[in-house]
Amino acid sequence: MTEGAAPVDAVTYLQINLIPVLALIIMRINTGRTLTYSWRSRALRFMMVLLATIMLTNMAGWMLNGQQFRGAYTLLWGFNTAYFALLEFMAYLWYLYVCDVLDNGIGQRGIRVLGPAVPLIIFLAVLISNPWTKLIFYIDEQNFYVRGKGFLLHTIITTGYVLLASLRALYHWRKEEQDERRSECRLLACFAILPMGGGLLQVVFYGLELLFPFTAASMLMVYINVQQRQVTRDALTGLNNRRRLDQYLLELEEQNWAGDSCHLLLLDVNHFKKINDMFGHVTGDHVLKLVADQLKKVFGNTRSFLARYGGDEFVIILKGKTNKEVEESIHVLRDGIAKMNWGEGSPWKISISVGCARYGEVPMKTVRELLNLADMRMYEEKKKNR
Amino acid sequence: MDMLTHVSINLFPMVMLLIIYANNHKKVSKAPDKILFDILTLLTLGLVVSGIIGYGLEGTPGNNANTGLWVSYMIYTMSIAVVASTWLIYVSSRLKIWESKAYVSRVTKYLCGLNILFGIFVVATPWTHLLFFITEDNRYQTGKCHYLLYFVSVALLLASMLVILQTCRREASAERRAECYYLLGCGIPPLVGLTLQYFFHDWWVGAPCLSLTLLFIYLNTQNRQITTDELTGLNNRREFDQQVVKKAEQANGSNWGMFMLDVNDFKKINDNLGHIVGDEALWETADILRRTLGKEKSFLARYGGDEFAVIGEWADGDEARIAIAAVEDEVERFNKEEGKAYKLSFSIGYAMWDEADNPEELVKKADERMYSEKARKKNEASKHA
Repeated sequence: MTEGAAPVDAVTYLQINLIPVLALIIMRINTGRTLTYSWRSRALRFMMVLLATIMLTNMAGWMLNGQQFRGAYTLLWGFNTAYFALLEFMAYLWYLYVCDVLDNGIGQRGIRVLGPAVPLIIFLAVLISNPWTKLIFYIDEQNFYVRGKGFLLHTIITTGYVLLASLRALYHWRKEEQDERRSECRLLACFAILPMGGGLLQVVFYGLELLFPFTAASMLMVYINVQQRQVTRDALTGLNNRRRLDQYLLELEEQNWAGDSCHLLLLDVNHFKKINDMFGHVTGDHVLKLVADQLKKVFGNTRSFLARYGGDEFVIILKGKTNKEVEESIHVLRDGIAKMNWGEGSPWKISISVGCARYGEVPMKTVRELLNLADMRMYEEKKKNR
Repeated sequence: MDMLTHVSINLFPMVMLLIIYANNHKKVSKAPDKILFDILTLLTLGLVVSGIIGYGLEGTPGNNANTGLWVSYMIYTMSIAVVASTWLIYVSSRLKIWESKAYVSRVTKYLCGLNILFGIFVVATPWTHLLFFITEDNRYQTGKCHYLLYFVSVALLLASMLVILQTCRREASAERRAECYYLLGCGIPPLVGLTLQYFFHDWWVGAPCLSLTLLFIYLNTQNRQITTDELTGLNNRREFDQQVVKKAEQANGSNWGMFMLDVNDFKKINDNLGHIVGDEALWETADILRRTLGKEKSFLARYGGDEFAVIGEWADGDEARIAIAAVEDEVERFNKEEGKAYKLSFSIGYAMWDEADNPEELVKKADERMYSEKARKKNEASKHA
C-alpha cells in the first residue's frame, strides 16, 4: 500500500493480481497428493494460501479506497489491519521455514518458535493499538488510506525477517559440501531477490505493481525445487533414485569428466532376495534403509552422489578422492555395517559386495563402461563371498 | 489501460513461463510430449514478450517505434494462431492419437493450410489494415476483420476439445477417461482468456491464462512422476503403501482386500531374452491388470521388481477370487493370441481386510499366500517335467 489515492484503479489492481493468485491456488491444489505431512511441507502449503490471502486483502483495500458507502470506513480499517498482520506473519513464517530447511529440522516448536517471534509480537502490539495511535496507517474522513508516521517499522520488520533468512541461507551455502544441499541453500537465499527487485521497480516506476506477483514467482521457484527433489528421491531410502542417477551420469559425460578424479562404487546387498523371501518385505525394506543410513553416515558430508540403483543395488560416485581414500571409505563402510549387524541382533546379517572403478584407469569413453567395470568387479567379489 | 499496467499484468506470466521452461528443459527425456510442451512454453513466452514490447512502444514517437510496433504486433497475432495449433498437436500427442499416420497427415494438412492462410492475412495487414493497424501517433487500432484472430484461435481450441471428446468416447478404462477430462479442463483457461480479450479489448489476458494452464500441466506432470512407476505406468510402491494406510483408516465399515502378484520365472525371461524383453513383459503384465481390473475402482500398483499389488473393493474372498480368475483368464488369452517369445505366468495371493488387524499384517498375509502359490506352481511344474 503506498499513498492516498491508489496508483492504479481498483479494476486494474484486480487484473494484475488475479493471475498470480490463481497461480498460487493451482500450486496449492497440486500439493494435495505429494507433499508429505511434515511440518515443512505444511508450512509451504500454508504460505501459498497466506500469500494469496494477503494479495486479496490488498486488492480489497484498494477497491474500497475512497468509497463513500456506509460501512466502508469499518471495512477499510478491517482489511488494512488484516493485510499488515498477515504480511508480517508471512515474513515470520518464511524465516522459520528457512531455518527448518537449513537445520534439517523436523519442525519448529517451543523456544525455536518464540525467539524469532519477538519482532512479530511487538509489531502486532503496535498494530492493535494503531486505531488510536495511528502509527502504521489510518483512514481519513474521505475514506482514504494514509500512511502513518511509524510505517517504517513495518518495512523494517518484514524486510528484516526475509533478509535474515537469506543471510542464514548464504552462510550455510558456504558450509555445505553436497551439491544438492548447496543449490537448495542458494535458492532460499535468492528468494528475496525477485520481491525486492519488484519492490524497487515499483518505487522507481510509480504505477507498477510487482511486489506481490514477484513474491508469488519466488514461491513458485521454491515449490518447484521441493517437487524436483521428490521426483529424484527414492522414497524408501531417501537417496537419489535411478532416474536422477541416469541424469547425473549424463551430466558428468557432458562435462567430459572435467576436473578431479571420479570413482564409481557399485554396491550390492548379498542374498537380499533370500532375506526378503524368508523374513518378508517389511524386513527387506528395513535392511535397505539400514544400508542407506550407513552410506549417508560414511559419505554424507562429502562431494559424493548416493543413489539407489535398483532393488538392492546402490551407486556411490565420489569426486576428488585418491584410490587410497576410497579404499579407506569402503573399509569404514564395511566396519559400520558389521557394527550395525551386531547392534541389531537380528537373525539376518547384512553383508555387501562392492565393486570400484575409477574413471580413466582403463581407456573409456562412456559412462556405461565405467558402470560395467564396477559391475564386473562387484560380481567378482560376490562370487568370492560365496 | 496504460503501458505500466499492461507490463505489470504480463510480467508475472513471463517470469512464471521462464521458470517452467528452465526447469523442464533440463530433463533428459526426449518424449514427444515433453518436446511439444517445451515448444508451447516458448511460444507462449514469445506471445507475452511481444505483447509487452508492443505495449511498451505505444505512444513513443518516431519511425523506429512505428516499425517496432508493426513487427511486434504481427508476431503477436501470428503467434496466437501457432500456439492454438500447437495445443491441438499437444493434446493429440497426450492422447496417443498422434501415432496414427492417417490422423497425423490429415491434421497436418489442415493446420498448415489454416496457418498459411492466416499468415497471409497477417503479412498483408500493413497494407490492408484488416486485422489491425498502427496509427500516425504510434497507437494500436483494431482493424475491420480483427475478429478473425479470435475466430481462428477459438476454432482451434474447440477443435482440440472435439478431438478429446471423440477419443474419450472410445476409451474403456476410467484412467484414460480421467486423462481426457483433465485435458479438456486444461483447454478452458485459454478459451476464457481469449474470449475476455475479444470482448474487453484492453484486457490482454489470453496469454496469461494459457500460462496458467501450462503451470498446471507442468506441476501435474511432475506429480505423476512422483507417484507412478515409470516403466509400467501403474502407481508406485510409495503410493501403494500410502493407499493401504488410507483405506485402513477409512472407517466406513465395508470390507476390502488386496492381492499380491508375482511373475513366475521372471529372472529366466530377463536372463534368456534380455532386459528389454523383460521390461516389456512387465509392461504387458501391467496392461493385463489394467484391462481386467482397470474399469472398476481397483488400485493397481507395481510393488517392486517383478511384483505387483492390487487393492480392490471386494466384499469377501469370493469377489477377490473372481477378480483373480479374470486376470488368469486374460493371461491365458494373452499367451495364446499375442505370440510373444515368452509365456506369462503369475502367482497370486490375496487377503481381505477383515482378516488382518493392521496394514502390515494384510500385506504380509497376501505375501505369504502368494509365496505358497508360487511354491505350489513350482512343484506342479517339476512333477510335469
